[in-house]
Amino acid sequence: MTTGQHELFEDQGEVIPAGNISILCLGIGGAGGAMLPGLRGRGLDHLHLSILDTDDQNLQALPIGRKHLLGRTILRGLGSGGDPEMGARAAEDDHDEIKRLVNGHEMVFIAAGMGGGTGGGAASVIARIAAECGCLVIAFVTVPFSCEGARRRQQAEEAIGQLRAAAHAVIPLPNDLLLQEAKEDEPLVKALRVADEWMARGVISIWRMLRWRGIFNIDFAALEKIFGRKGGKTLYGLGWGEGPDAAREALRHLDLCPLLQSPELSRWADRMLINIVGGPDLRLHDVRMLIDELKSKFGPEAFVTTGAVQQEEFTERVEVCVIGTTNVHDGRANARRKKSPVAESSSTRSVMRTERKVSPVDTQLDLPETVRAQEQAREGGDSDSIQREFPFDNDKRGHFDQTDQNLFEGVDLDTPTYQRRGIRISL
Amino acid sequence: MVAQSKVIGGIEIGTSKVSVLVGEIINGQSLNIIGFGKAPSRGILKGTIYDYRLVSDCAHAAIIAAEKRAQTQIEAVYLAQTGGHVEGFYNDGTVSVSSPDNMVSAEDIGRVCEVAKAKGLPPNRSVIHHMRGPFALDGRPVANPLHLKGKQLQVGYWTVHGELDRMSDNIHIINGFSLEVEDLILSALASAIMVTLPDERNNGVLVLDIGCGSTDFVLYQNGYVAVAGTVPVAGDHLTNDLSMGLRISRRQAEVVKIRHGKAVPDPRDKNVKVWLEGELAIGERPLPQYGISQIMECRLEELFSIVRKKCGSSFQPNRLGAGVVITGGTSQLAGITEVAARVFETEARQGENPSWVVPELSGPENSTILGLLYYGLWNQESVDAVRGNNRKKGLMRKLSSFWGGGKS
Repeated sequence: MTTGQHELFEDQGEVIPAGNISILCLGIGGAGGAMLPGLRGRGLDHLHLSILDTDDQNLQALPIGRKHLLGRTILRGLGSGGDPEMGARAAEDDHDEIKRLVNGHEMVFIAAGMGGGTGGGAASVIARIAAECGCLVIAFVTVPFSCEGARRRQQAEEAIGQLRAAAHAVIPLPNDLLLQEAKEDEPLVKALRVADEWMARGVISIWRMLRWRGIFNIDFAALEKIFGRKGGKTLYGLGWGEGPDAAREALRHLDLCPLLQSPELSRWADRMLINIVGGPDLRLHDVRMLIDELKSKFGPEAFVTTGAVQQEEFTERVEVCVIGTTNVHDGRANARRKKSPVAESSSTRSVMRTERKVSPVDTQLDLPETVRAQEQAREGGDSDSIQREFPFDNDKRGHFDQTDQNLFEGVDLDTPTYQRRGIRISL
Repeated sequence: MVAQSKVIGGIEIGTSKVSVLVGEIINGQSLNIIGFGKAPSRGILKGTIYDYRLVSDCAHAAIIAAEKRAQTQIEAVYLAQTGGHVEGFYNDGTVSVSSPDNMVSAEDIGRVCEVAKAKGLPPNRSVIHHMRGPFALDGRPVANPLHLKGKQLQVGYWTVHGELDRMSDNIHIINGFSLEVEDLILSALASAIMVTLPDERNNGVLVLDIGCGSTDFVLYQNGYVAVAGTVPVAGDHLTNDLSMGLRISRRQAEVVKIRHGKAVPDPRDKNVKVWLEGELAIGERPLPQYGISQIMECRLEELFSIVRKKCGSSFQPNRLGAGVVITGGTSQLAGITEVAARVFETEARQGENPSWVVPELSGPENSTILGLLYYGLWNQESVDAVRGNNRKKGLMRKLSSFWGGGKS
């Protein structure tokens, strides 16, 4: 059952029995704090919740037991005023308290909104402190709507950048995309909570990976291996299905996962974590199928760790969660970005001409690609880049991802218009 | 007497395809189309080259194909120019009539044109066209002021310019095939000349050539070009929006656009689903027709709004007697004229190439190359008239009289 690249058990370093893993969820700032109540009452033991904010009113409003007011001395409970620098300073000020808070937990989830001051500023400081204490830090963050304005988006992007350097993985939840999932007649307040739900499911999925024993088990060291390196983009997808063909349904559903369309998330992984939950009727065949399909979709060369669990109440139900990380240097880049100056082209032109004599002119359709592939093969390098040019290079600008911004009156026209206008497409 | 012939080629290096049209000019007076070649484009996005080598290969493939069908070699090339880097502005100039009896001389005319064209360009940019507007003598518009009497002579030019590097890339690709570029023509102008009649240009018309990578537009008033330019948004953006909105691959989105594309959402479509039918189908699922239309409508609305903005105050719906004409590959989309009519507040129709064009070339995606050859013929006529004169490698050509307006 074990294939070369398919590690089922990690055996490096200290093996921490699953029963002893302690997980801490930190809700930072207004948006972050609001994400936490959704995690209560789901039977997740060993999951500790805490909220941190510079605004005392926010803290008092939430039904979470453990609260901490950030930057008491400098901000006096009045909030950061939407300024990330204030948020960061407040967190630095409370360095020791934060350290005390995170110490002893193996894993820290951070929830925060990236557009504001506390979430945007304090989150990366807190992530850094937690990582320094030896915690594995995974952040789920919301990204403001396009209609909230360019400045807020800019702020959010910077905040995410800083967070990526501090946390082990950052999973952005863009409001633009998630709103597409909301029901047409849902009140706004409820629609905004969609992001909370995605985070909750992500946390639950990882919690299950660690705590439920099953066919294949993932231990903490395996998680650490997946998330060991900081800085790259993450991939996060979730799908579920029901019925006799639940596994395939789950796969199809995962394909539709809005987060896979996110601008900030990757559609490519160098290391992947797959978690499958099914009922007593879950077959090994289904598990193999899911692993194979997910690998071919997101990373044929990826290092994959899989967990699979059978639960009584999951009869004819399958849930799949895939989380992936990429190496910081994105190997996808340069096949398309290459712009050869005139001189270079003239030196290779003689090579091109030879090729052309061989292939019939009538098959024009294939000519450039064939020549290019042959040329690349001959050059011996970068064969990766051909493969990686495949269909899913979906970042926010999709097909135009590798090109310059297409600015008109401050708006990038390459981003889809329906998204910028907040038009919901019901699929 | 032996017929003199010259073989010219109209070449358009577009985002979806490179097209080459070969024509033979007989005795400098008539044009026969003798060859046509086409190759899919790679290495261009939004009308701008980002991978020179790829584009070069595609262009050369198209040229070879065209020359093969023409069974001869091209002698001179008329090359289309588009791309987001293309910008335009209006500048006018006024001079006092020099002669004591207030009669406008040729020298006055020359002087005022120089003044109007004298506005400098930002660094690294080069003029593509100077489009002359009407003359005005003491405030009265005149077609030809020569020998008329007046005190102040005024003229305005719409100047279209582009990034020198981008334009050079284009030219170098042709040079790489040992061909000379006779002239560089703005794509918008080439298309417009094909799908509009002189009457329409006199009454006022806005022409949009919506291709794959860019949308080229020209606004005519009283027979003159008032505004011309490019917006780097077109068919590819429609495809991309569909791909992201419907969660399908780009290739699938292209199929959806062509097979099920509708620019105006119909409430009756709300429960209608369409299928891709076996196109790369893992997890094949039905797609919402209404959603497809929504995505396309707002993209087109935005595109037309941008064109309207770029036309500025020159665009006034009530001064557009012939309305809006849409050509280019994307013009075939169902309902596109409706969206245009709404945004431009005037009537809109799909353009058609003239009836003398053979069926193979009559599609709207060929308006540009047909226009290039048409211009080539005219240019040849005027060049022959000053035979052997300095033939510049065309970045600065006197084109006004061909594209719109009087001679100069």
